[in-house]
Amino acid sequence: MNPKEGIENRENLTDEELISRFQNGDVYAFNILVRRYENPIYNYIYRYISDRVEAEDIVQETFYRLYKNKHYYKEIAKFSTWIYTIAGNLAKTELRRKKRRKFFSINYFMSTDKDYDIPDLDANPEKTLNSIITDEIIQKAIAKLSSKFKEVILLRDVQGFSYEEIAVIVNVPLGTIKSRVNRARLKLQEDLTNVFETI
Amino acid sequence: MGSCATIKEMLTSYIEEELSEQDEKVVRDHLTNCKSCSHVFQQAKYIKIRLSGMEMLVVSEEFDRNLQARIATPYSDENPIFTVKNVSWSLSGLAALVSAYFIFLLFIPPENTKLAIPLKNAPEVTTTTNTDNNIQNKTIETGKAEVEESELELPLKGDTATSIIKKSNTENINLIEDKN
Repeated sequence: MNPKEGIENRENLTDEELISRFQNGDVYAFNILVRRYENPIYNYIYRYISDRVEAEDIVQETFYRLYKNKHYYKEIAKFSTWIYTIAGNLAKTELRRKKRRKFFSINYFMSTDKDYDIPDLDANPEKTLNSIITDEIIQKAIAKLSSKFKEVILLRDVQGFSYEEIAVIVNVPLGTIKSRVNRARLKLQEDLTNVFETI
Repeated sequence: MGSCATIKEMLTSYIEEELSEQDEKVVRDHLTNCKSCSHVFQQAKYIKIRLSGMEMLVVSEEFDRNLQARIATPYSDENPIFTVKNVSWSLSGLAALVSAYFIFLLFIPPENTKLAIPLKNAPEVTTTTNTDNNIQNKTIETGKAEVEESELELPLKGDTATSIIKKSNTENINLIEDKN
């Protein structure tokens, strides 16, 4: 690393260049990667497990693992798919833990699967479609999806990954990914159809 | 014109304009004629747009500081054993095991426990063994198990263990002699 190189120049480097520099001891490159990915990964994980505190813990764990295991990254993979794979695996583990905890909690047997609160349109006649189908309603619909549908729809529609990249992150064939995305969209549509009908 | 199920399978590719011209025409024609599928298509397309436009959440202000602190801590293991979470789960597990043990003791008494009111002169164990031996002897002699009803009867209240053993042994000898 050239010590005279300006910080601004490093900001313009690609992810792969940054991780390479970090592997060679440039900690500032690590900090740039954190700043670049902390919010996108946080969004992905939060939408996946529906818990902000846990999501932040997982993001922290992801970067901590990156820091400790930087040499595991090989240039053959794209950095973004690699880091999302780590985060996704941690989120899956957390989701399984949550399911076990939920099963053993009293609420599991007492809870009623409450549906969405459909807004009172008469009270807000001027409201647009977007304000009726809020992020919260969509988030609840996403939470109802099974893990395999949730991860692909989030990676595709929320994170904007290509099908090829998703196939690498999830480690599932391309055709299966396309089929899962399609089914996830249809499931969301089915689930939200009642809300649509009120409009 | 394709079936509704076929069209639904192609819906995502149609939304993302990834279909061949021919398939695209098939879907478009179907959507023009099928109100139900057209409805699904409009809603699915809307959901896709809404998902990509969802609010971008931001990590808390403490995130970077916490991460740096964790990295700087020399003993921050990846999977620390004695965390509050781990200890509480271990204690819960232990409590569940102890409870299960007591429930087990409450409902299933140990095998050797005697009945509260024992039958007078009822040598259960000896009788069973002799009856089994009796059947076995008969099987050896005759080649097939012929069990008489009387052999399976429970001992009379007045019989003692010794008398039953004697009785069954006598019957065994008689049986063998009869065969001879």
